[in-house]
Amino acid sequence: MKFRMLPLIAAASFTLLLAGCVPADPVVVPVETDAAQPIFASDEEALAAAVERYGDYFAAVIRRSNEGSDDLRDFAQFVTDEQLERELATAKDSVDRGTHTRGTATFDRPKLQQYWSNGDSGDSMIIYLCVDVTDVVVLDTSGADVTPPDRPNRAALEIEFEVTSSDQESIRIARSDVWPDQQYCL
Amino acid sequence: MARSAVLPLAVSLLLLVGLAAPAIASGAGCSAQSILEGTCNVNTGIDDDEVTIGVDVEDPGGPGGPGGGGADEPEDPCVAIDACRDDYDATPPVTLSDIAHFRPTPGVDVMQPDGWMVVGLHTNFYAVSNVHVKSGELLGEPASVRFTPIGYRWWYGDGATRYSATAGSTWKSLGVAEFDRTPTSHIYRNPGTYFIDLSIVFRAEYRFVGEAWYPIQGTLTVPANRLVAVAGGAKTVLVEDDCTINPSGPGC
Repeated sequence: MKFRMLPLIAAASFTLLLAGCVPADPVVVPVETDAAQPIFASDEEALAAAVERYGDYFAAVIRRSNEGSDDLRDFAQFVTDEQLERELATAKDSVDRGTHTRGTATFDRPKLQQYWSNGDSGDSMIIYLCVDVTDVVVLDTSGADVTPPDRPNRAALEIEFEVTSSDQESIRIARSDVWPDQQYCL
Repeated sequence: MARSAVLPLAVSLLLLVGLAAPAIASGAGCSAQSILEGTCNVNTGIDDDEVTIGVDVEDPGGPGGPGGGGADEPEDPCVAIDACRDDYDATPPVTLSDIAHFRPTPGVDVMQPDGWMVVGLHTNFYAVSNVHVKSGELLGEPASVRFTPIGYRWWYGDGATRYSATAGSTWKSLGVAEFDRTPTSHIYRNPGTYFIDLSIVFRAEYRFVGEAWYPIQGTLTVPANRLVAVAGGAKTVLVEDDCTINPSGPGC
């Protein structure tokens, strides 16, 4: 039975008001249905799949950043719709500023933070990793180096993925945040 | 037990009526792009380009938060000890089978609410386990073994599982309301009785008397206590017993 909040809230409130002397509903022990299995057989597999997917996404990020365009068609396959919007906003800002990058960035030290199953809607995964931009410079339209002087060479990120099938292409980045433990990457 | 939980539950439910379910605040986030360009403020976690009015920018991390302690890589045993000098005989490394009689203390699995859950709401689970040292004899010599918990695996009893580098904590110490999502919470979708299992993954190090700690390759996974709990709809858990039989039951 689909769980609906409002009728249950109403029922709960009404029940409280009754100062309830109502006989208990029987507690139903569920019949074992096909339990949703996690998509990956092990955490190591999950992490490996996420790292591979992130690698493809990362390459697309660098390519776009070096080109200085806001065309994110190559991106869309790697991220959820919500995340795509955020990435698009970032890309548009650099186009507006007239900046692009040059050089190769890398990432390392991937570590699994959590991997869990959401049942039928798929799995979620959170990993940490270090992005290294030591060899990347930021240039303006005239080719001058405008790399911010306080830009850290290495940063720790926390990335959340959604996975809907064992197909590599179903792994999507849902969220990308700084991980407060920046020491991890130093 | 359930009595004191009823009022907060009612308050939470009444609040939910008036508010749309809040998204977990993660501010504007930082993608790899913003790291490349240096627009990500790694101290606040905000991409400075993306601050917009009305967005909650006070939460630098995501719901994951800082994980279990720091680097996973084993320490290099040659950093601080004599055994790596050329004139010292190498000894074979101590393995997990050598320390088989040093057993880590199993952790404890705790759930909130205790022993019951409401279908559709977050049930919080957390593990209680700390670094601990056991002393005894190793390879014929007095020694200590230190166990550090580094990972937590839950089986929720409904087919869902979770591996977490975080042990989790109470709603109160996380500063959230009862039934709020936590990094280790789970939602049950159907009423019934569930068996919840937890295993904790430990790293081990050993030390002979007077010497330094050395790491042991691999990890040990130790089951904690099994929990049994009943999930019901809000109405069912609020009025559990006929109040003439149990006048102090929930809802009476």
